[in-house]
Amino acid sequence: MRSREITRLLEQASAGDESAAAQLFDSVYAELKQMAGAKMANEPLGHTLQTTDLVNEAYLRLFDSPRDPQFENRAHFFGAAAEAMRRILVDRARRVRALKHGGAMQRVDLEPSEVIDGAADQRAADQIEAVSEALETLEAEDPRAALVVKLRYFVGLSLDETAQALQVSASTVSADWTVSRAWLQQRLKSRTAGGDGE
Amino acid sequence: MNDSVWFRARALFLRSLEQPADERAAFVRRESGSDLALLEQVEQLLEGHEVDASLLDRPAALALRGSSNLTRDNGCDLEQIGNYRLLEQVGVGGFGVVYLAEQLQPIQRRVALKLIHAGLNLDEYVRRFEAERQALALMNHANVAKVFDAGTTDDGARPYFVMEYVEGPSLTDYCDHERLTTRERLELMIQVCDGVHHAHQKGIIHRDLKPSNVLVATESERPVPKIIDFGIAKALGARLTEGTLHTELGKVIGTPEYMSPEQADGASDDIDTRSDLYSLGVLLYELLVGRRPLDIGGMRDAGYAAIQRAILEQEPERPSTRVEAIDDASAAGFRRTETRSWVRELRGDLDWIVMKALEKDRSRRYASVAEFAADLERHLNNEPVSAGPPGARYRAGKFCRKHRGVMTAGVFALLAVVVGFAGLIWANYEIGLERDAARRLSRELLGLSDTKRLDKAVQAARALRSLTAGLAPSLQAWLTEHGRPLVSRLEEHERVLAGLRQNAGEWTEQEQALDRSDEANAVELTQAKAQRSKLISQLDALEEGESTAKEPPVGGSERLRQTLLEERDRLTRQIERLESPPGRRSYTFRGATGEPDGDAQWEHDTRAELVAGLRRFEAGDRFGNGFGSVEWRLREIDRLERETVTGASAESRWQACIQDIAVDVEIYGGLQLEKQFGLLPLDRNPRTKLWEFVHLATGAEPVSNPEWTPVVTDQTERRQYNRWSITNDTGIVLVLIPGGAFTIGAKRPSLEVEFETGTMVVSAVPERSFGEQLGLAIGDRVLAIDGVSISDADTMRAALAEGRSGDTVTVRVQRGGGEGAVEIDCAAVLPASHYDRRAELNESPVTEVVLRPFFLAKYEVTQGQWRRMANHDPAYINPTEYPRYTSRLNPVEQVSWSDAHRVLGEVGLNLPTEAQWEAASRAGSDRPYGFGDRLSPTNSNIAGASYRRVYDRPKYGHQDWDDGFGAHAPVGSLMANPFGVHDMHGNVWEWCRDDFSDYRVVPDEGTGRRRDSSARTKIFRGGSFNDPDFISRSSYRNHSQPEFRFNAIGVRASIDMKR
Repeated sequence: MRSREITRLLEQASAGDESAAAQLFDSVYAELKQMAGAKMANEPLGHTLQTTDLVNEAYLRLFDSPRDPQFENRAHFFGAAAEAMRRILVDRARRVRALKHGGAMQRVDLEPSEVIDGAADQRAADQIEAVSEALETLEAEDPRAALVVKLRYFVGLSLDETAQALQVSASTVSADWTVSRAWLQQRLKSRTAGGDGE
Repeated sequence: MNDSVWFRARALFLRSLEQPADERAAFVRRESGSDLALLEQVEQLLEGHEVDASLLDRPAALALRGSSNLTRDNGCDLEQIGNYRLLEQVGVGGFGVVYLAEQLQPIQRRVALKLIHAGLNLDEYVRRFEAERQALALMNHANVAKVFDAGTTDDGARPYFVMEYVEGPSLTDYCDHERLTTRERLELMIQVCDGVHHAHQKGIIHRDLKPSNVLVATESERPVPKIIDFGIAKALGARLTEGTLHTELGKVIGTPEYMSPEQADGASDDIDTRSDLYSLGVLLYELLVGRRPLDIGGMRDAGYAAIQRAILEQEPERPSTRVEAIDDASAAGFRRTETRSWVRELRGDLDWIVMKALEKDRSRRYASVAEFAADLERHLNNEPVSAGPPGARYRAGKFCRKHRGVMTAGVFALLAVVVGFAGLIWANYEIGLERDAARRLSRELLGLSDTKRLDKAVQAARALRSLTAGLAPSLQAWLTEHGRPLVSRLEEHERVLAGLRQNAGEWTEQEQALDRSDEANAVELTQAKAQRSKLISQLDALEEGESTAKEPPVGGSERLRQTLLEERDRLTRQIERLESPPGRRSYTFRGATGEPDGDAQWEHDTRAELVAGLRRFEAGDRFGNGFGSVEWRLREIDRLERETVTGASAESRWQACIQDIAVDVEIYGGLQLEKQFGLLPLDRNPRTKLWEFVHLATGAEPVSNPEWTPVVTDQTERRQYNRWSITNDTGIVLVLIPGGAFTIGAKRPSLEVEFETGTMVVSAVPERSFGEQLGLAIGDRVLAIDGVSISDADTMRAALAEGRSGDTVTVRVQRGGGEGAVEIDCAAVLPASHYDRRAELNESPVTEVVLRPFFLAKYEVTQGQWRRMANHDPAYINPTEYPRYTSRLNPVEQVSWSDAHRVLGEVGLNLPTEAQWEAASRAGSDRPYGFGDRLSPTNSNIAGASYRRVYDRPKYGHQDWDDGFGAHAPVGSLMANPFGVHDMHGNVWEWCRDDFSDYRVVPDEGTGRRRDSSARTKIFRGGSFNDPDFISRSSYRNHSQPEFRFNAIGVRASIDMKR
C-alpha cells in the first residue's frame, strides 16, 4: 500500500467517504504508534516523545514527495495524525497513572522506557487525560478549534506550523487557539474545583 | 450551548480581548444585552483566559516526560560543544544536564560539562561569570572540584560550565552505603569544611551547598569529598536558587532545606560565608541523624511561603533528641551502632556544634567555617569544644574520656608513666589542682576502663550475630574473654559506687519522695516514647503519600496531620518533664567550703553510668549484644543442633528425606542431600512432588491442613489453598527447588500479530522500520508458517515450538490482492517462549542460568515471624492499626533491603537471588506468569476492585478483577504455583539479593547472583496488591536503594543448600 494507497484514501476521505477516513486514520495511527514505540525503545531514560518530528517523519514516509498530496488532503492527513497522536499520548498518560501510584512508591525508579518523575508527571498525565476528554465536547461545537488544540498541544506544532498544516491563515489559528485555550482552562479549572477524587 | 451561541460567544470574547483588561467585563455585559446564555458563555471564556496561561503552552509530550523541567532536561543532540566532545550524559540536576566530556585542546582530558537550561539572561550570566572567573582560577584545593571554563553553545542558546570530572556518590549516599560510623562521617565533614574554607578565603561563596554538590571520589583507596559547582550559583544569579523552588503550578520542588534563613528571606542580597556555614550545618545534621533538621517534606504542596516561614522560624530538634524520637534500628545500622549508643554519641558536643551552625541569626553562628571545623576536630580528639555550655563537670568528663584509651592499654608496667602523664596534663589543664588529686584521679580512671571494655565487648558481640553451628566456639570465646570478666566485676563497681555515695550531699526529703515514684515514672516515660515514635512514623507516612492510607481519613488528611502534630508536641513536653524529674537523688558533691567538687562529681557519675551499663549488659535480652544475649545465642544454637541435626527424631526424619531424594532421578536428579542445620524435613508435597522443610529458628513446625486437597480448583474455599496450617507461631517453611538450567528474562517481540477470525494479521512491527527487515507489513495476513496453515494462536505456537532465535521460517502472507512468501527469524513472531510485548528492556537478553538446588520460602515472611526475628513490626498495614485488613499472618513490609539482609542473616536465612526468584516464580513455565499467560483472582492479589474500595481510587487498577483483598493478604491466602510457592505474583514485592545490573553481567556460579559494584540499587520482584498485573510478571524487575522502605515491599527468605 504505502504512498499511493494513502493518497487514494486521502482523496476518498476528502470526498466524504467515511470508511476511507477510518482506514486512513487506522493507517496513520498504526504508523505513528509503531514509530513512537521504536523511538522510545532506543532512547535513553527520561527521553521525551518528539511528537512533531514523528508526525513530520510519518508524513514523509507516507508520501513519496512532500508536494504530492493536494492541499485539502494535506490538512486531512494532519487531522488524522493529530487525532492519532492524541490517542497515543492519552495511552501513555494512562500508563503513567497505572505505573505511578501510591505514596512513597513515586520515588521508585521504574527503569524502562516508562521512567516518570513522580508527582509532577502524575499531574501532567491527569491533565492530558482531562484535556483529551474536554476536547471531545469542544470538537462537537467547533471542530477546527479542537483540531488546532490537537496540533498545538498533542503534536506540538507552533502557530505558524499549525497554520501551514491546516492551510489557513496564522491569525485564524491564533484566534482559534486563544478561544479554545480559554475554554479548556475554564473547564479544567472548574473540574479541579469540583474535587475530582484524585 | 448551541452552535449559534458558541460562535457568537467566540466572536464577542475575541473582540473583548481587544479592550483594556479592566473594561472587558463591562464591555461584554453591554454587548450581550439581554442574552444571558451568551453573557454566561463569554464570561466563562474570560475567566478561563485569565487562568495561568502556561497550562497548555507546553506540548503534552513534553509535559508528560518532564513536567518538572527543573529536574529533567532532554539535554541536547550535540556531539560537541566548543572544545569539548560529549561522551555520555551522567546526570540531571536542578540547573541542567551534566555530561562526561573530553576536552580536545589545549590538553586532552576528561571533564564534566554542565549544560544549563535555556531561558536565562545570557548577557547577565556571562558578565557575572567573568566577574567570578578570576577568583575561581585561584582556587586550588583537594576538596574542591576545579572550574575550568564556561561559555555558551554555538547557537548561543544555552550556557555551559566545564569542571573537573568527579566520579562518585553524594556525601550522604556514600556515608550510608559504606555504613560509616559517626567518627568517620565527621572526618569526611572536616575535609568538606576545609574545601569550603579555602574558597571563602579566596572570596568565593558557594551558595548552594547540599549533598548532591558534595561528591565522594576515591583517591588512593581513600575517600575524598569534592565540592562541585563553586561559583556557579553566583554566576547564575541568586534568583535561581529561589527559582529551583517553583514550578509553573506553584508547587515546590528541589531541596530548600539547605537554604540559610537569610537566603530564604530573600530580602537582602547580603549573603556572606556564614550562609554556607548554615548549609554545612544542615549537611552535618543529615549525616549524623539521617534526616534533615526541618520537616519541609510535607510542606512541598503548601507553597514557598510556608517553607520560607519554616526556614526562618522553626527551631530544629537537637540531633540526639531527634534520633531518640525516631528510634530507627536500621538507620543506626548504617552507622554500625545502636540507637542508644548513637544517641549517646550525639548528646552534648555534637548537639551543640550542630545547633550553633544552625542558628537562625547568623551572628550567633560560628564566625567562620574554620572555627566550625576546629570544633569538630576538638570533639574527635575529646577536647572541650567551643560550642555549648562548658562547665567543670563537662571538662572533667572530657579529660577522662580523652585518656580512657591510654588507660585501657592495661599494661601495668606503664602505670607509673600513665599516672605521671595524666598528672602532667591535668596540671597543665587546670592550674592549681593538687598533685595527689591527680593521682587519685588516675587510679580511678584505671578502674573505669571497664567502660571502654564494655563498649568493646558489645561491639565484638555484634559481630557474632548469626545462629549458625560454626559460631558456637567464637561465642564461647567471647564469654571467656569479654562477658564473664566484665560481669564478675559488676559487684565491685557497685561497691565502689556505694562508697562514693556516702560522701554525697544530703538526700532531701523531697528527693526521697520523688524517688519512690520513680518506677512509675519510668513506665510512663517508656510508654510516652513508644507512642511518640509511632506518631512520628504515622506522620512520615502521611507526608510520603496520602494515598497509602487505608481509608480516607475523616475530615481530610490535613486535619489528621494537625491532630497528630499536636499530639506529638504534647508527648514531647511530657517526655521532657519525665526525663528531667526535678527529684531523683542528685548525689551532689561539694568540697569543704561548700563549692561544687567537679572531680568527685564526674567520678561518681561515670561510675554510676558504668554500673547501669553493666547491669543492662548482664541481664541483656536476646536482641541486644550483651552477656545475656550471647548466652541466649549459645543455648539457641545448641537447641537447633539437637532438634535439626543430632536428635533422634531429627535423625530419622532426615534419613527418610535424604533417601527419598537420592532415589528420585526424575525431579531431583538423584541429589545427595546432606542434613541442613536449622532445617527439619516436613514431607514431600503430594501435588508438587517437591520436599518441604521448616526453619526452626523462626518458629514452630506447621501442622498439616486437614482441609487441603492436592487439586485445587477456582471454586474451592480459600483456606484450602494452604498445604499447611499457618499460625502466629509457625516458622518459615521452605521448598527444596531442584537445580538445573533455568531460562530467565523476557524480550519484546519484534512483531506483533492479532488474530481476526481465523487469520493472523500483523498489527505492528516495533523496533524495526516499516517492512524493511522483516519483509512483513502491517495489515499482512499470515496464511501459513513453514507450510502449516495458521488458524489460531495454538497452531502458530505449535508451528514455532521448536524454533529458536536465529532459526528462519517461511511465512506465507497475503498482502492487498496478492500472496507471497517471506523468510523471517522465528523469534520475531509471537507467541514464542519468553517473548512478551510488555517486557521492559532490562528484562533482556533472555539468559540461561544454572542453579544448584536451593531452599525457597513457600510464603512471604509474616509480620509475626519478623517480630520474632527483629523484635518489632515495621509494617504500615498492621493488625494493631488496621485490624479489619490484617493479622500477624500478613506479610511484613516497610522493610529495606539492608534490614532484610541483616535480620535474615542473623537467623541463618538469606534473600533469594534474582535467578532463584524468577526460576521459582516461573515454576517451569516460559509464559509471563507461573500460572501461564494470565493471572486469576484466586492465585494473585493485585490491584482490582477490592483495592479500589479500600483506597477509594475508583479509576485505578483492573476493572474486572476482584481477589477479595484491599491491601496485602495473609500469606498463603491464594493458590500456590506449580512449585507450591504462594504469592510470587502480587501481595507484596520481595527483595532479592542481587545488585541491579545488566543480564550480561556474569552471575555467581550455582546461585546465579549478579554483583555490580557500581550499582546503587537492589532488586525487588513480583509486584504487589498495589500494582497491575503486568508489573507482577515473573521477569519484571524493580529496584531501589538498599535503604528504601515502602508499604508494598516485603521479603521472602531462601537458603543456599549446604554441601
